[in-house]
Amino acid sequence: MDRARGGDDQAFERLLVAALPKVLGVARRLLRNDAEGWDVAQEAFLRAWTRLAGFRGEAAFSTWVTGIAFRLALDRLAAARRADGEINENRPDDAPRPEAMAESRALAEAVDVAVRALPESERAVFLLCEEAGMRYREAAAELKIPIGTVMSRLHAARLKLRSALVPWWKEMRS
Amino acid sequence: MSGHPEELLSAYVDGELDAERLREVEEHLASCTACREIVESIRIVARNTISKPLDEVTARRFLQESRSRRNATTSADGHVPAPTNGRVLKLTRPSHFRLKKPLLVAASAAAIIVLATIIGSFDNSLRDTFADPAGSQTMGQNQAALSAGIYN
Repeated sequence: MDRARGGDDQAFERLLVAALPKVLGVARRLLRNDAEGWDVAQEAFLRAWTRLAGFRGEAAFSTWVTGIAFRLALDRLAAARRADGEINENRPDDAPRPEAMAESRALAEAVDVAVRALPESERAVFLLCEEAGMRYREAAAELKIPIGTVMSRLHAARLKLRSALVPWWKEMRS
Repeated sequence: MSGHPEELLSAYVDGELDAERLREVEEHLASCTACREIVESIRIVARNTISKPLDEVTARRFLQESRSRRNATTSADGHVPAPTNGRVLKLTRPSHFRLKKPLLVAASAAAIIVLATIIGSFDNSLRDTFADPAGSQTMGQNQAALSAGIYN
């Protein structure tokens, strides 16, 4: 971390590669769009790079940059809602549709579809706590909601995922 | 604890319960198969939810694009986070500063001209004063008057 902060590009790229699955996973699942998720992840790493000197290291680099990606993705969702003039969950989702999911046996894809299908408020909490690895108080601060709301949304999200992934229980347990 | 501690089960899995709540949930789990199953399912989903490492081709493609974006940022606004590996990086000032530079040069030149004019005129007046006996006398008279005023 110190070497990256000192301007060592190779050190920065090692941090990037380690954090990439988490950052990309949160961005593309929150946005429900792989191309937009990719773009947001790129933007997040660029911002992290320009602000590296100010990173105090209180959280892990991956958590910090995931938080940046998360906020960028939320901004895009809000912009899309303003453009649509309505609050909805009808943004195009480039993930396979449920019909395709029924045909697919790929567990990773099933999980992906199930997470993307969560309502935005639950998806946001779930991704922050589960994928970004934030504590409840961190997620509450990030979303500006009470910890109790984090708990209830997270639990609701998990119960929905549990139901959605029943066909894959056997595979998931193994 | 009455009923099933539904929402507390997530917090239990995440290690977010305080000691008292933790004890309550553990006591409940010891006697409730349904809640134990929920806890197990939360853990299984969590294990399978976290994004897997990317394949090498995708990671490489991401890295290349990231480099391009960083290079573009550097050349666009002169941003360089810090010196790198002993390489000497040319630090350029932000564009808003560059725009003001000609004004700064012009102001400096004007200040030098004004200063030179003042020094020149002061120098001439001194020369005139000491070269003119009448002027010298006037100055002497003024000093004498001033001293008289102070000491009288």
